[in-house]
Amino acid sequence: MLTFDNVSFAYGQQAVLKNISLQIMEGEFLTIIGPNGSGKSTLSKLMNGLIQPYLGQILVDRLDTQSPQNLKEIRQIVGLIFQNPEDQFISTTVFDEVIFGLENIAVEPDKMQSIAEDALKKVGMLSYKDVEPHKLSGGQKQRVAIAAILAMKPKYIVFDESTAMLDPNGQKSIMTLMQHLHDEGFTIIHITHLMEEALKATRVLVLNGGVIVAEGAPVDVFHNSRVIENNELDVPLPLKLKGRLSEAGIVVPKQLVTLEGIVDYIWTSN
Amino acid sequence: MDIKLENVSYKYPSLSNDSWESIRELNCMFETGKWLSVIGQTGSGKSTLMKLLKGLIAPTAGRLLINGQENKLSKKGNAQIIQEVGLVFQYPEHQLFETTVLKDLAFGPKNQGVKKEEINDRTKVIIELVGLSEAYFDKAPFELSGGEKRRVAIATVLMMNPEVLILDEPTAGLDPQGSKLILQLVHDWQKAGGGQRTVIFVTHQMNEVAEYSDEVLVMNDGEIVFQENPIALFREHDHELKAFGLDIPDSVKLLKLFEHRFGKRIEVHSLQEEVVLEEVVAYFTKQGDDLL
Amino acid sequence: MIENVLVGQFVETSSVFHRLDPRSKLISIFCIVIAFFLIDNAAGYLLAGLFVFGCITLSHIPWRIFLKGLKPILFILSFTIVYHILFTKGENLLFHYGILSIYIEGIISGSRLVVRIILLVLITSLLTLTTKPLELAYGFEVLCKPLKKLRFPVEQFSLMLAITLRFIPTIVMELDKIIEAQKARGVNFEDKSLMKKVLSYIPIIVPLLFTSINRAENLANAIDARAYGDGSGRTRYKTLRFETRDYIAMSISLFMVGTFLILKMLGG
Repeated sequence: MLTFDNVSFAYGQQAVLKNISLQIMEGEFLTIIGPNGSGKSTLSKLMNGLIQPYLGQILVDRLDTQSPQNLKEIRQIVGLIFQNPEDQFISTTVFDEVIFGLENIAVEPDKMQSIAEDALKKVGMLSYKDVEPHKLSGGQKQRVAIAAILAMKPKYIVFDESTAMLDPNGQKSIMTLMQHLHDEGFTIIHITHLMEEALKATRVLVLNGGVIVAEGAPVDVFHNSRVIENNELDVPLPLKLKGRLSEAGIVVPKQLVTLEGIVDYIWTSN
Repeated sequence: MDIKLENVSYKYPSLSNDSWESIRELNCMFETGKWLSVIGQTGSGKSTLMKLLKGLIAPTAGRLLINGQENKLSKKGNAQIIQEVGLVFQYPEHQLFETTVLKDLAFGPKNQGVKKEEINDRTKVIIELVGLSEAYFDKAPFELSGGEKRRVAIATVLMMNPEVLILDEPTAGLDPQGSKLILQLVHDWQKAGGGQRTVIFVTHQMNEVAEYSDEVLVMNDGEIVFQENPIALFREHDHELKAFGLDIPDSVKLLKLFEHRFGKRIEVHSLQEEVVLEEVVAYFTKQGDDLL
Repeated sequence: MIENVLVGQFVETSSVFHRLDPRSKLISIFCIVIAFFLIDNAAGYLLAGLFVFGCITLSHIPWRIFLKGLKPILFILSFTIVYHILFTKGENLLFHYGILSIYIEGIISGSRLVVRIILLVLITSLLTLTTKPLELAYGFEVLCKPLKKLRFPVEQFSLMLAITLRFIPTIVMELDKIIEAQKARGVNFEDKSLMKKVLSYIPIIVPLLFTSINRAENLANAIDARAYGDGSGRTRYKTLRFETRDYIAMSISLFMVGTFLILKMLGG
């Protein structure tokens, strides 16, 4: 379990997070959504001790992120995938990139090859083993970043706007991979500003101005029009359609959140 | 300003994978006053096309005609910047370098030799157009938020008073609100030109294409495979687009689902979400009434 | 622009040089460079030339790649030879015209220097062409380990070296993009006056600096997030081990130093 207990954070005079209390259970697929500057990325960096809270406490499986001797373990348990695919690729080949993390957590050298190859296989990048980063697309680089984290056997994987710089095909491939990893039992924490992506989660948290303004199942949160409007979120077309229909007196069940589902519902209910 | 490409090809010199981003035998027309969206997968040649239109590179074969005249300056192998074309690159905020917003805005027109008073006048109009105010003039570009930086960067190109504005994925990396503002400002800029300003909008976001485009140009593997109005393109050619790895806008998905389920085709004059929603909901409610 | 950058221009072949431990290669090249500086007579040049020729043949790397490496120093080479021919005084006058007098000694000393530079460049390119940049960095790290006792951050230095090599293509691409964008904003790089020329590069250097600083920050986060810590207590995937061939290579290099020393003493 990952726990935030009354956490506040500030850059200089500017408060970024205010009194955040939050529990993330194992096996969850939590999406944190909010506009740029809402404090989302700060939240992700706090999760594996890249930065320390100004007030309050963060526990990762009971390990306090503020004790320096815990950091190595915490960073192995909580894997972080960043936004920019280029700037998180440290090594000169795909294979070496996965090895880098293994070396850091002192894995025995003769086990490294098979661990790295398994991880690359999982993300479909094994055949690119010896390729250099500047020959990969953004989506491919992100998949390598995911493999590098997987090799370190984490429990929690945090995606900090990891799809924001990718083209639609790259975005889709990363979203699918996220879903697979969740099915395999990893706890997924996904930070995004796209509501369509948030619909896949088991729980959604809306962050704005450094505070949690809404929380719950995606369908509940996104049907709350006050939450949507007050927090500069973009309403996906299916929800807009439902809104219009209900104004016209046609009520579509809450759990239907795709265009297919809504159109089919109206067709069959006639 | 009309720009016409006749059999234009461009091949990058000595790159190992020679098909990447090269373009072959392009024939197309960019008509004055239109909003043209360019779509295609990464590596399909969109960026190369943009650079050709700005004159940063010269065609290795074929001709580029401006208002019917061959661009003499930009003949084979001899690239020459075309002043009337403004080009906004991807992540344009990375090119800001001056100490204040005002200086960065003045940089382009200064290079063009525009007079000081004229530059002053332009800055006042342009800063409003991009949704900021004169209070921003003395701020340093790097202290602005991501969305503001992007708008200042676009403003630096607008300052050069282009007739044709090319934007390469101008909303990349912005949140929905920031993206909307960018689309809106480009639209406002075009409208302010009285039908003389052309927009060439490169994007991966089909919902953005649905907003304002008069025409859509589809590129695949260095060739133009479609140049059509968006309604016809997305409604009739969705299968072909899929084969090129391209999606269709959500509004068209709704129209297609509706057509498929109810066996009725709704005619729309625009693919904007608002327009399509209205039409579809009107039909649903009417149907409900009929049933009563 | 990217294709002109040949740093880390490793060429894969299955030669014995590729299989050598990077440490023994570094040590050997170091010895040979010293040996070449000891040369001062024709026999020495002949021997060194044959040695380099033999090594290049053994590397299975085409000659044209080595010759390409010589291209950038062509100017220095021609300058060296012209300088020596014009300004070295000697006893055997070959040619005299006005203030210009050319001596045979000048030609000889110029040629000697040029041959020496060529041999040095060829033998050091052999190192970079047959060793992956990262292996080189690692070999360097292990060789420098004793410096750790002096509190020199050997691991961090090696990581820094590796990251520099990794990011050269990225930064070059970035530079290309910025140059294009500023050209589109009307920067003229063809200005004649030096002052204007220097100023025209500010719109390139400043953005490059900013994006690089940003990149460095992101990288630092990425390295930290993956539990690098302070670089200590890590294991290494590749452990370096000297094989018989490494001892042979180093012996040959030492032998070369000895030979050239003797040749020098005989000659002197």
